[in-house]
Amino acid sequence: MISFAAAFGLLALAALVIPIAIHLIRRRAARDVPFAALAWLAARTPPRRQWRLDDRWLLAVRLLLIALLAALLAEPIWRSPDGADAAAVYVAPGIDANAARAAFDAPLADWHWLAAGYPSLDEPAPAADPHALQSLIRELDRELPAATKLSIVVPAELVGLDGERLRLGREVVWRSLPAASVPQELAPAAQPFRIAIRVTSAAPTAASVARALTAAWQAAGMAIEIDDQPPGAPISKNSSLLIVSGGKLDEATQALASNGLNVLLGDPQAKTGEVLLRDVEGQPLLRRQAPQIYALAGPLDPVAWPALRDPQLPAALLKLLRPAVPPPDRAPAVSVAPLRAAVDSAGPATPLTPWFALAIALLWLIERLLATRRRSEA
Amino acid sequence: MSSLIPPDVRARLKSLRISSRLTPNGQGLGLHTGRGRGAGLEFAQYRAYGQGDEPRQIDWKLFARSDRYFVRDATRDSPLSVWLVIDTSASMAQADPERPDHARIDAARIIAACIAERAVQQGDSVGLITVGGRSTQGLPAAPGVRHRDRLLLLLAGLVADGRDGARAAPPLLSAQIAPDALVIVISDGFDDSLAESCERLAAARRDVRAIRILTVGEAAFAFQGSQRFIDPESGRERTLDADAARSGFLERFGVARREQLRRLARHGVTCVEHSLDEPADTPLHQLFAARGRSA
Repeated sequence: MISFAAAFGLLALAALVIPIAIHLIRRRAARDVPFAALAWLAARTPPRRQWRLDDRWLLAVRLLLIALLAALLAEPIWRSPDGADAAAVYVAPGIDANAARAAFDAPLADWHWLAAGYPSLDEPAPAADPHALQSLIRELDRELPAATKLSIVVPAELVGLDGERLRLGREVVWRSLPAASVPQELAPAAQPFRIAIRVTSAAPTAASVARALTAAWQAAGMAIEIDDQPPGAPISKNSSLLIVSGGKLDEATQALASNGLNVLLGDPQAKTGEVLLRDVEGQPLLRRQAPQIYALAGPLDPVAWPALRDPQLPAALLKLLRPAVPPPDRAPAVSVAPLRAAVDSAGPATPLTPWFALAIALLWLIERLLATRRRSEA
Repeated sequence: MSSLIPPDVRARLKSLRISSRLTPNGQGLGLHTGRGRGAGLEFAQYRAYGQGDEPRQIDWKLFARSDRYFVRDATRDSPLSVWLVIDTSASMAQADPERPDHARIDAARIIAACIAERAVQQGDSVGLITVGGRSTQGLPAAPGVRHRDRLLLLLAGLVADGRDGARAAPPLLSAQIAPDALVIVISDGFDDSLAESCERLAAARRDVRAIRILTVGEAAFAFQGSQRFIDPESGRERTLDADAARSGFLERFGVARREQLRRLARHGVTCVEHSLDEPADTPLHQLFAARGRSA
């Protein structure tokens, strides 16, 4: 059964018009014939316009050639139509094999572990890799023949899920059993946002701006720990953000910044770096001077730089400066049962591209033969 | 040289006998009943014995009856002089698209070679004149194998190149061709002046025969689709649909050909048409078989 992986390529079939047009236009143009009895030829029979196609064989070969080229663009694949009525049960590692067998009354089915290589269930359970589970199921869906009934046994609670919900091209019997082994550690508790403020007492407005920012973030619901000390005090290693009033960073701070500490400072002289935020008039608000160093484009003084008074600014800054939170990857198996989708999963496919290319090469040879033979005759 | 003539044509040539309806008056011994009296097989007349006659020529039986000496005279068999007049105008270079290497001039070459071959075998003399070409070539009439070879050499080099405005003045045929000669004109019949000189020659006691060579395209007009027809001599061209033009052309051209044949026949010129797809000896057998029956 031939199907096309990229059916859009069949749009190239529109090119079939080209050889037809060529054969219509380049109809045997009036050939020159020496003819001495010209005087007896009536002048009143002008050449008729004929919509007749010349060289039908050549045209047929050319049409076929273009059709094959279009099919080649559409990436033809071959699927054997066998494999009907087979049933396969795949058991995720971590579930007791006997429990799985007991849960399913399918003695004729193929039993496999849902692990790399799909070993048989009779073999010892392979090591569980929760992150590979979804990918393995998707691979199964593509490789099993379309008619095979697929059943999957998974632990009641799945971890290591990726962002995309499972969408399979077939109906799947999705069964969850309590895992033999308890899933490992719980997700780490949410880390608070640790902010270190090192503002000189010479710039009281900068300190108040820093406090206002943190207060705004706290009001937005962030758990925040603040370490507000004069400059020079040591900075804790697990801090996420350092707010300084400006000036040069010392070496210890630089080292911390290269280890993942974000630094926010006010630098009116900053003219370089990627502009991350702009005010309503298009003036730059925030630049990234170095990978972890963010510079506000003015002094940390709302009187001298009114842009700081923008109520949207704390939220915009928070979005940029907040430490990354791992996405949730844990869910009850029942709630992530695979969805039915129009995914092409008709089973293992053999690409026919080389054969089509071969046929095209052959046809092209034939086309050249026909075309040049024609020319040598004329 | 002799390879001009295809083998099958050569085989059929044996039965061809070139003859003239005029009695030749040439010198020497030939195959044709001449006007002179002399040694020969055909009885001509009795003549009174005169001094100088050989005694063995006296008819002794007649002497027994009449008591006078009579000498049996026979008609003398004379050679014929055959002149080939070949048209070398550019239209003679026309060939059929199906067979581009067999133009009218090639057919004319083969026919002329056949005549020369046969004439030499008969002991006749052959001469050649070309008309209508860029230059006029020719060879006086003479007998013999070596002369035939010279003529074949000349034939092999013939080029049909006479176009309008680039044509040699027509030679005065009657000045070159002696009376009582057999003149065979090979042309395509599109040149009216050649037809007129044929008629004049025929009126001036020459046996003129003409072979008109037609291409298959002219005889059957087997062209299809739109074609551009170009007159090789004038360069005029006409683009038209061959399928639509066929019936009209065949009708008009047929009428013109019959008219020309009739006019030539009225002036005593026998003319046959030869299509390029026929063997080269066909027109010759037509020309000389008809004569043989009526003579």
